[in-house]
Amino acid sequence: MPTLYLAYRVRSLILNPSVIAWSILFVLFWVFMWIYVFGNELASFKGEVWYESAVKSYVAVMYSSLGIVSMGSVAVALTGSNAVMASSIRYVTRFTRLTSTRLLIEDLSASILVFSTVTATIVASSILLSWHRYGVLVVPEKPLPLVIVLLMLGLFFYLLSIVMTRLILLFAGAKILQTALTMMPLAMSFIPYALLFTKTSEFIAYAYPPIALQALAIEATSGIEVPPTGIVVSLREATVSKHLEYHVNLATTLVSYLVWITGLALIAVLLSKRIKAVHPEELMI
Amino acid sequence: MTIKLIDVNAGYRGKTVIDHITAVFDNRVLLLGPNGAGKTTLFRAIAGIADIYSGTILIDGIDVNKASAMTRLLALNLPEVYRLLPIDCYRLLRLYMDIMDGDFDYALNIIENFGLSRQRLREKKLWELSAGQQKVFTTVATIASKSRNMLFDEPLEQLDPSKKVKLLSILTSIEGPNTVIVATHETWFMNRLAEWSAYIMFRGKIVGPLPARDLAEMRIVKGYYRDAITTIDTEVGKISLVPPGVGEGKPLTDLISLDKLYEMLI
Repeated sequence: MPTLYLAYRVRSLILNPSVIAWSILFVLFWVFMWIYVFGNELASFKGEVWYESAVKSYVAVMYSSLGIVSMGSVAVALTGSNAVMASSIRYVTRFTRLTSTRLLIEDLSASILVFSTVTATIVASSILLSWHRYGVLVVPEKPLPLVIVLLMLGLFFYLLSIVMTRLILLFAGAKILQTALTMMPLAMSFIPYALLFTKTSEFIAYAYPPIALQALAIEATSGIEVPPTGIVVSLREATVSKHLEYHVNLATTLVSYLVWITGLALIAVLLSKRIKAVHPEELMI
Repeated sequence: MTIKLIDVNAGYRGKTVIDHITAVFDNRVLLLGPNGAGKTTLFRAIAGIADIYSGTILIDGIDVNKASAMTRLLALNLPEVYRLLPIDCYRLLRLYMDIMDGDFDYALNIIENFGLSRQRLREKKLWELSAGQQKVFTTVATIASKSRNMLFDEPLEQLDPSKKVKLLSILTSIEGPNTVIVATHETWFMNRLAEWSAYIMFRGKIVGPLPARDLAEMRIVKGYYRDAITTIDTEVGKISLVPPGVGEGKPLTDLISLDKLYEMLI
């Protein structure tokens, strides 16, 4: 049986003003912009043979990429709250039922649940608004792979936030560093978004797995195989040529992802041995 | 139920605050010292929050650095212990009573008796309460944990006089063969808790134990004194604590607060 920590952690994250403002409202604003402003021209092609497929790929690109930005925003909230609770954790893991392992399991479960809830909100809003604007219901073609990819991204951003928290504790007292490290997950979540519009070498996509995972999420949603970067450009070209040059490689993505997850976990463990006790007064986040 | 410190050196971020302390705390203990003496750091070290550079801390024979999931072994009223989640006080109390195996109804009942309604607890986060209310919350949570060893850091600070009496009465009525340590800089505790054993702490060092009643009778004299039970070397000079009749000096209890000790050297 989980302790009350799990339920209260979920509640505190979901009701965190930063999560509501940045992960939900800010991202919903961009969903609105994608559908009603950037995608305004698309609606004028209603009736064309390729219209439905174009809407599907456009909406898939939108909610896959914005979902990652949303996760990055949740990771920012996680980083800040983890830093503040650091001194409690030292006591709690020794003298309460919450052992380090139990705390990790409950915290990870709570975080993944929040990542899923926030992403589901973005996906559901995108589907509803796009149906309202384009008259096409864009339900994911392959829901299970989509859920798996989103869970993988959730775990990635969770571990990233843990590493950032430990770096913050290591550099406690340096305000600029603390602020930069807190916001790092959000900055990193924008990298896949930026590469939607730019074709780069495959190496970059596999060197930083959220880029390739974004492409896999788009594939799972639209059913169209896409390249890892420059997806928007490639989809436009494919409308004319009916052919996409290459698509994201699942095996390479998985290898890169596993290397990153292992690396982040190792760094988190190594840093935990170096960080000293930091009292909330020393934290300026 | 004992807390045993063997040559403990502890502090934060490489800075030593606790200077080679060896002591055994059991039953009821009064820990006296001015602000900055290291009382809070000593509690943090016992709870595993401060860094222990050398030495060993054993709580009921268990090394604090190896303790894991030891419910009801140790509880303390430091606010940083209760910062696990940024949630309202009502849920925070439920959470801590759940993970500490404490008595939620008992804790809630006492806190409500201090004028903190359920509604207010649901509306406010711990840091949004007044300093006195925070103290009540953390002190009551510590008592309600029913731990075998309980540490109270300045439990009556920031409370109005009637609430001080009420909370002290709850603290002194804790039953069982457990260890209760109360840290304070207020000297009247020595008379009120005359039966307790007392330690006095200055600049990271500790002297004791001796009965609180005897400590209350000690006098303070400037400079080094041969028959002193301890001589404190401060940045502004030496102060000695001597038994009554040994030297002309001011009774320790006349100071009201041990923070005023340094004023004697001006």
